[in-house]
Amino acid sequence: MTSRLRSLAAGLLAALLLAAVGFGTGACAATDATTSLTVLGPWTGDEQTAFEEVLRRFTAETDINVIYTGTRALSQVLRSDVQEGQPPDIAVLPSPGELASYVRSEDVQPVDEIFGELPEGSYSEQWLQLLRLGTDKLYAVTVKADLKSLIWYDRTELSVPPRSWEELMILTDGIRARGQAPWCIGMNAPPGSGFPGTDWIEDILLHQSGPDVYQRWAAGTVAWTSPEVKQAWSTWAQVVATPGSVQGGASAALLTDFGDARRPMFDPAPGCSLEHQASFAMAGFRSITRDGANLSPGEDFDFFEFPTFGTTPGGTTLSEVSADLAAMFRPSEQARQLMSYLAGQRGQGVWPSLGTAFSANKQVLAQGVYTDPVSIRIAQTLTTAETLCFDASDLMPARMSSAFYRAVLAHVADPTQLDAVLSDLELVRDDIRPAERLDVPCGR
Amino acid sequence: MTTTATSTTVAAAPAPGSCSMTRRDLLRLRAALLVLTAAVFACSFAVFSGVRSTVQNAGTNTAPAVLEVLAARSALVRADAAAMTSFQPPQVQLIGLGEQYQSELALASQSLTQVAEHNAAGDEASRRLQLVDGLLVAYSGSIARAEASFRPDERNPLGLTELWDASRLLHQPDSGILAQLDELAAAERAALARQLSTGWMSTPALLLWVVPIVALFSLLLLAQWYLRRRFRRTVNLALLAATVLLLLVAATASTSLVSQSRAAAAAGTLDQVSGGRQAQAAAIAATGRHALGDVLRIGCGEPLQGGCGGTVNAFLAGLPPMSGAAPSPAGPEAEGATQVIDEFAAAEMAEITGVLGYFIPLGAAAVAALIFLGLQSRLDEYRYRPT
Repeated sequence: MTSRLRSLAAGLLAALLLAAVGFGTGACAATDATTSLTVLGPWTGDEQTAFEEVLRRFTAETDINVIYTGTRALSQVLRSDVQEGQPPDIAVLPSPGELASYVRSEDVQPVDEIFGELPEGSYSEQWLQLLRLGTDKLYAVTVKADLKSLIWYDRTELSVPPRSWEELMILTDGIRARGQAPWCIGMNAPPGSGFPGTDWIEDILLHQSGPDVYQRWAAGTVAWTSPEVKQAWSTWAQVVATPGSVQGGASAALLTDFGDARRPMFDPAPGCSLEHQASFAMAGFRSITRDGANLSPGEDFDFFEFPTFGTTPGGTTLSEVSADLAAMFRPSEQARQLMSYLAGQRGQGVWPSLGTAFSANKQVLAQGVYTDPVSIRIAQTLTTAETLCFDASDLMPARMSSAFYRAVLAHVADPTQLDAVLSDLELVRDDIRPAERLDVPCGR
Repeated sequence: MTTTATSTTVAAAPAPGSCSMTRRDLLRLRAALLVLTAAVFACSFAVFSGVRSTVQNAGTNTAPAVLEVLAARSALVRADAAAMTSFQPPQVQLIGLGEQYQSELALASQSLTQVAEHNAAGDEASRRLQLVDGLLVAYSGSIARAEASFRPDERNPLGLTELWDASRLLHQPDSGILAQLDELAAAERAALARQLSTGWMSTPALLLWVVPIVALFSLLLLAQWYLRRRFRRTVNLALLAATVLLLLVAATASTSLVSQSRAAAAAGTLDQVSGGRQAQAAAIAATGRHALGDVLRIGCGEPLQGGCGGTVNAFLAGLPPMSGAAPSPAGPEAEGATQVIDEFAAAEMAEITGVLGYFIPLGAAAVAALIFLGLQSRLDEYRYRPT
């Protein structure tokens, strides 16, 4: 009896333990937590995959685990996390203006020491100045950067690119005379429709009136109704409002997606010849096929720098840029290591080596990650241009940039109402408090 | 002549060696029975309560979260169709956007607020909700600006731009509001599936209460067999009563299986309701898209005449066929949602589980008392050793 009892008890106890372990394992798995760095960023989809590769290589080097969260609602999510006292360790923001607001509220840590540890000359003085965001400290690392002030074209259709605005107008007049529309323009990009037009106005103002006027206008201290700004808008009208400049006219320009605008460039009967767009357009060009093969940079498509006006400098000496900026919200040794990795040659080289991004770090260019002549030229300008200026609408308060986007659309819809459009913009500017304005000097 | 005194009613005095073994066996048997009774109480009560709580949570939070996402989606599709239809001239000049657009938009907003309250899919779902909120503000702003532009001029290119913007904000694959809501609904539904299959609803949890009951039942039978053999007692009434009571405790605990099964069925009903709503929404969306197509053709001309550019031309070419079915109002959708909630409430069996929940601890206590009683009289026979 006793041994039988013991056997029975042992068997039943084992069964009970197994059930309890199975139940407990499931419960424990749901609550397991490890110490990791948290990074919040704007990228989802393919871009998220690329950035996670950067983080994966960091983890492989340092054994520091990183959890990346990508959201297109970055602004709202980061704002509420900061307000609740639960910011991520590091956040990547696509807008220097938004980052500057966190610098002002002292939610972001300076990173001067990180740049001090990098090999000398890793970044141009121009980029270091931009990354100070109008202060005397460095607050951000560029995860990736884009060059604006570019005009793309079909390499087989144009042999000598224009260098001045006058030469550009002669070129486009000639294209129109042949019965073709010269410009590929697509404004549609919800919820930011109009941004391609704001890029146009910014580039014209920058190259027409110079970086000083551009900087003051971006900072909100130059009126929208000033002669320089009005001249920039009127100059743009030569592009977008001249009949025959855009296939389908104003409606097509307004309703075409910015990513679709370039496609007619490579049709058998080209629907357009030139596109003003940033370096991120390269991915779009590469996805287009002609005669069954993807377009090749340098052979099928290329760019020329934004043309000069009169005696103001242009070419590779003056350019507009944009960047995705990583900033440290919660200081720690691990966060500093990640920021240092992101700023350094190894971290900066990962994404460009995948073929879909550009770095502001000079050592990446020297590393040879760019494999085609177009990418090399872009990287050279990014890292060595004499004057670089952040996209002005990225520096403006949100309601000013929103009004700017809508004003561009209104101007395309009816170019005869320019004075009214500029007066409406001026009303918005008047309403902005000085404390909201951001004065970020161009890097020179 | 030698006489042998025998007794048929009183146990013979045990030999010195066997007395301590029998008492020890009885003590160990009683201890094992009581320990198993405690395990039956703890495990059965824990799983019973855990299942009840899980089913209640699923019915009051997770399932409603799924339904509210679907409700928001349906309302937005109806709002958009109403808006696009109202932009067909001369309606917008005469009556503007109309009441249906405003009321459906408000309904969508209310539903999304409730999703935030009931969200069971974690931080990612919360972030997606924030994204949807921001996109919805952009959408309604574009619609409002389109109305302002179209009222004086039905061909206003700025009005067309805002209307096109709004439509793309809503319908863009992968990034549009509806696509975000689809992802959100899938996340909440996955959370419901996890809730109904893990933790207290899992197979290990089932074993956690079944195994002690089987063990105790087996040991009670073994104990009664042993007592009958050793003490020539045919029936130990107390232990027999304990066995019957144990079966009643087991029956009570097994109602959690009924609850789980009903909850799974309610989840199946939720999927049917979801499928029906998606089909209905697709038909309504097609109506709205065709209305937008009409507005674009009026505004820009036909694609062959230049039209509105490549993106719009591709949209016009890809318009789904009209089903011809009139969009149904929200009434049947609300009925489907009510049915799902009712099924989850039935799965919870709140009316009886509240009472049954007391029976497990009381029943287990009674089983313990009967075990103690059933073995005590046998133990008492060994209390006084012969000297």
